[in-house]
Amino acid sequence: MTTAPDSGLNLLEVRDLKGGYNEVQILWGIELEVKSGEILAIVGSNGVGKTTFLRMLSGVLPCQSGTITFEGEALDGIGPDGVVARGISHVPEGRRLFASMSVEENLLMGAYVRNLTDQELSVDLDRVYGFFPQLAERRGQLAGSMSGGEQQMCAIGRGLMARPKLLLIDELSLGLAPRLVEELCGFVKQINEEGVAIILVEQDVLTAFELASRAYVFESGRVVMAGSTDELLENPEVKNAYLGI
Amino acid sequence: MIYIQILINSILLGGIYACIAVGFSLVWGVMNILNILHGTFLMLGGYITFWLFKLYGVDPFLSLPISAIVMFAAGYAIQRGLINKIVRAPMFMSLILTFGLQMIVVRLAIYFFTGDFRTVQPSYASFSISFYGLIIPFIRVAIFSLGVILTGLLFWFMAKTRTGRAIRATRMDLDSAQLMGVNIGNIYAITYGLGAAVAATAGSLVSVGFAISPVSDLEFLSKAFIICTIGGLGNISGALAGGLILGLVENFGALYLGPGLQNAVGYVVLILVLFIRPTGLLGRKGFE
Repeated sequence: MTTAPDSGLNLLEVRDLKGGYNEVQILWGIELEVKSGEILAIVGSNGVGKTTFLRMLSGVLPCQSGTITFEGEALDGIGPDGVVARGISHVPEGRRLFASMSVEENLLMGAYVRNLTDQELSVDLDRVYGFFPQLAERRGQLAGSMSGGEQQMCAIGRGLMARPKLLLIDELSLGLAPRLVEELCGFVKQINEEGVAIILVEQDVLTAFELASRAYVFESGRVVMAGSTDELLENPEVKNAYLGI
Repeated sequence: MIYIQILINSILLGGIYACIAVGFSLVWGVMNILNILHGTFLMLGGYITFWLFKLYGVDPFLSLPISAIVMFAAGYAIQRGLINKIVRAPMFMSLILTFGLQMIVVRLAIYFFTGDFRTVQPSYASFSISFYGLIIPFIRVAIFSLGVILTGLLFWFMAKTRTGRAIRATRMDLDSAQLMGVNIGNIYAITYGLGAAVAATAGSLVSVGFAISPVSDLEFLSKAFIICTIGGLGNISGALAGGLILGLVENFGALYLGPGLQNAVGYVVLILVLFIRPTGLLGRKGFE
């Protein structure tokens, strides 16, 4: 694993993070960092703690111990609203749109913590509609009535409305046709090119590695491998366990 | 002619019924708590208007905002300090907690206000318009209009404002709303405060046209319950529809069956609706 010499400061640093739900410990000391502007993938099979990890980053799940540092400052005890306000937004698994709100209202919910004027909001809405022209056509439609791919676009758009520096995407490809996944990957690249760092949690390892420059492999709540995606693709263990080659 | 008169009376009554029920529906719909204090907020709103009129001569319609603000603050504090602690527990807990609070408040009200029936009698109380033999009391029209305006205001707030949107989002998907940075405890307290404020304002309106006492609260509560169940929980148009239907049913019930059975007819309709359409007339399953 190579260290980037040009960036002295990581955007996000996670040290010895432990936690879970009530009595059940799921994460056993995660060490992870995200550099500014990169796409990072977290892969691993079902139930290894990927989603739990994201939920702890967004502050909806408390940590037992360990530290999360974002832009050099600790994220302890600031709550989910504080985390969003600091510039981390979370696109949850299964999209979790507000089904009987319109697309536009869903997007507005994404900007909730920023408390903007209508004029500022329309600038940001236009930015999201720029990324996803399909959403602009459907802005008045109920979010729950759209197809899975469009819902995923809406969920990502909603995340972008918070103007994040770091976007957490949980299962981009879940339940979507390959053609749609490809299209969504294009959008994710575009968003990243605008300077937004992305953590992509995926079960579909090939898709994740295509997008990301680095990846972490989770197994039973621990990081078992980490490195550049090119290196990991050559790794026989990864090939065997996750790529089925 | 009598039918038209009763129809007018029913609509005028239905408007205020909608206003009585809408806060109850909001609180139940968003937080899934059965708020026994709802009728108590109406009763207190009525007394705020009554005492301001009696002691300081404040016009009852001018005291509406005072009722709303005072009871919003009280509702916000009750939710933040007490109900939020048990809001994740089974619904039964919220019923017991609010029932306990209701008993305390009503006993205090009896102690301080006495159990006498009171009504606000401004100088224009007996004005009415009459044409072609129909009588339309001015006060009832004013109460009806303000009740409808208040319900409309709540509707606008929920549909168009940032906070209203956050309340709806919280109702639809609590977890997702939290990820958007919505502070759930705060949104719950605002929702409860709004429910209390609308209830208190409705109570203020009621105190002008009807007699109230500290124990009127259970009557208000049962009306709110029937209206919400008939119209469908959790949506404002459901409360409007339920209110109008109950107004019609009660007035025509009184005509055909006598005033003694007037209230019973409401319950009969309630049971019929539960048989035919358990979600209420305008309700959807899971109300979203």
